[in-house]
Amino acid sequence: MQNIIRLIQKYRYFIIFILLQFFAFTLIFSWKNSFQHYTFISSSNKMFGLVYDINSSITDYFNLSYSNKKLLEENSKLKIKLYNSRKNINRESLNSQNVFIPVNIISSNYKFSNNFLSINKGSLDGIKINQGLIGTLGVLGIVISCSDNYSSVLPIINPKFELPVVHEKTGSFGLLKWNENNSWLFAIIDDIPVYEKIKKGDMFISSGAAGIFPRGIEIGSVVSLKEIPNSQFQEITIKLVEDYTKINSAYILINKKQDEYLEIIQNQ
Amino acid sequence: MRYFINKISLFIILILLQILIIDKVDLGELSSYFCPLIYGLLIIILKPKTNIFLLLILAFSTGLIIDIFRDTPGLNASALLIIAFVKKSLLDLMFDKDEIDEIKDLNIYSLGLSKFLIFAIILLFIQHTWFYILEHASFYMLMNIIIKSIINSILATFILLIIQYLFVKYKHNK
Repeated sequence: MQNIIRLIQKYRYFIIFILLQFFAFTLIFSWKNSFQHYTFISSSNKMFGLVYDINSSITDYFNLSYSNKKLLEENSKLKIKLYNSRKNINRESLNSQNVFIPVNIISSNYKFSNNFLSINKGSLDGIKINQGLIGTLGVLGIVISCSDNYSSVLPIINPKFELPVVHEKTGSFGLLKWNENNSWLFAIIDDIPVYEKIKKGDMFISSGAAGIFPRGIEIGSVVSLKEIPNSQFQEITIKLVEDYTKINSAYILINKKQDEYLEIIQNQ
Repeated sequence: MRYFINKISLFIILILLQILIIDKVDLGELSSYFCPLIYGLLIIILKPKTNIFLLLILAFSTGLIIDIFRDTPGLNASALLIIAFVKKSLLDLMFDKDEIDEIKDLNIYSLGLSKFLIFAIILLFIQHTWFYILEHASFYMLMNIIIKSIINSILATFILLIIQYLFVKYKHNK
């Protein structure tokens, strides 16, 4: 008996080593079948998860621009699917050829009377004059010039901007305009007859008549109505869905059948 | 007391360095070749008189903490236990008994640079080989395992050297 105790004493470190090693091996080889190991020995453990959480809350900022880019690409794919679906083909043949290119808005004026936007893609990416720019919520503007890698966009908040629009509920046509008296949050719609029943909060959407935007992209909601004296028309002020102070990422909308459409319009 | 605070802070720094920085380094296709195990450096530089029982428990728990972070229960714990167990015998093999007794802290100044490097690289090579054999669970890719172990043990030794030069003052250890 004493000999055994002496033996254990002599090799006590080796025995502890073997025991711990044995324990480690049981962990290795029994891991996948055991629920307990999943809950205790895994990084989803609350305390250890916290370290990763804090870490990602810091390092996520480094990947922010990258993940933003990925999301934009994914969004543009989804939008192509959405606007090219069979439903839309029946309603509007224009919609079957819409392609979206994700872009970043690198500068945005909104305080001046002649405001312009710049985006970080140009003719090398397939962007041409008279293509539409839409943000995450609705219409932003129309491309007016492009270099190889950058383009300039005429936004709604510029006096030169004009776009045919449609009242979502009644379907009556109007013309979207902007002048210096409005702030960057509001715009005006002309050419809507007085007898159309339009209420505050109604949405105006793009009409598809110019061949730039397909029908159905949101522009703004009605804020106030005013009858123009001695005429059959009313002046409608809308609040734009896009806030020009906060735009960052957007899509260029390429309508592949635009030329064909414009040709028909001109022959009329 | 100063010794303990020193080592405990090194313990935390090494674990965070391993988990948050070295494990996240992305080298594309070569990523699988770059994974030096540096959490074991503390076990290597603890003073020779440390109780082996304590050393084993410390090694096991350090390995287990890394395992929890990496979701590989037992793997790192097992590899680090090897170091803790072999360290004493290796010290006895490389140095005289009297020489070891005089050393209060294991570092490049007390052991000498070349001997310290040999000592560290042998231990780290054993650890890495054991780790990769267990990870692959076969000898099928033996050449691959050996290449990985050599590269990573050299890298880990290099990191140990940097830590030594940064944090060990020459004056203190003479």
